Amino acid sequence: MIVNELVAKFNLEVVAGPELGKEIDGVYCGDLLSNVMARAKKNNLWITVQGHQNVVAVALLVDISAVILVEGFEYDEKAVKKACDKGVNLLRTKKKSYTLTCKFCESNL
Amino acid sequence: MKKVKSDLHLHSVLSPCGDLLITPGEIVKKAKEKNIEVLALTDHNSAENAEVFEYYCSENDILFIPAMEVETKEEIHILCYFSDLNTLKKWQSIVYEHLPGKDNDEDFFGPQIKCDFADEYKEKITQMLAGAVNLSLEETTKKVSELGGIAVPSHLDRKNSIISQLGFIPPDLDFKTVEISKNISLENALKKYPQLNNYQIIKNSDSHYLKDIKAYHYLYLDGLNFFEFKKALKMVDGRKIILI
Repeated sequence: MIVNELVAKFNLEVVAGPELGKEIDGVYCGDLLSNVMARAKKNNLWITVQGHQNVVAVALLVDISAVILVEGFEYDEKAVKKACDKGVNLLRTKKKSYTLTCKFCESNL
Repeated sequence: MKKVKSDLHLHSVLSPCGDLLITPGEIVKKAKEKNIEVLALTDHNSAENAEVFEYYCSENDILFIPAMEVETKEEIHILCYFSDLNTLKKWQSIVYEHLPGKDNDEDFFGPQIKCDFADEYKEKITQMLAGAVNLSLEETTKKVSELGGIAVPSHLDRKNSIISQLGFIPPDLDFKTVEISKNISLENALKKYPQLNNYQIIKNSDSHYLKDIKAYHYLYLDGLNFFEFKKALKMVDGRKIILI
């Protein structure tokens, strides 16, 4: 599945979408960026509540297909700007991590 | 230039995790025994014991640095230092406005005790001081700096640090000095986190028990006052910090 299809299927908000054609391979959940840097894999979706600009740097480093900010949290302004500049997809939803991951699981993501 | 022993990260009975014997007067007594000449009491998200602490410091010719350890909304611990007690109180009221507004669960977290000038327990703070305040890392450092204060990120090699929560120090934040815990050597810290080579490194006792109070660094200052202290943290005019 590509990010664009995911957005439509799960009704996600696109906050920054410079690379919506990216292929998705697996999902990683985590809010400690040090841990995400070490454990997340290339093309994973990344589900988090952290909206700090460092999220964009970590997403770039790991080559995340899209970041999904859950529970209605907001991205920092600088994060959005950097994501647009660097080609990182930032998505958002009001759903909880668990609810969203369950739905992803049902879809064999 | 004078070389003085200092401890800039300490908790009192006000911090729910602090031991019941670590009162302001006893901290100063212990520090005096260890020839420490500069002290900062950095309770979590509060400075209710600062005034009493200042009194005991001045009685013992120790330079008192008004301070607090705040937890940002990213759950990052930041040490904040200010020029005087009034400014610290202003900062405390900003922090209090951003607390979660829950009552402290004493059985779980421990009591939060404010002391009087006789170093006796005066009252309990009922509002929960543990946990994150609703201020981002950037908002915190900006507000501290607007008050003329200076921010130092806590124990970068441990949990609740910029590195554990955000992976690395955002380079656009104007830190000159950063803290590592007493549990890691400078050599290992620099090896593990090469980014720290860009900063002056400080180590403190982060004491929660009286027995842990000890100096882990010297300040090189030309006189004992806040402005000299601030220069050392900013590495200005030859003022600096050297680890012991």
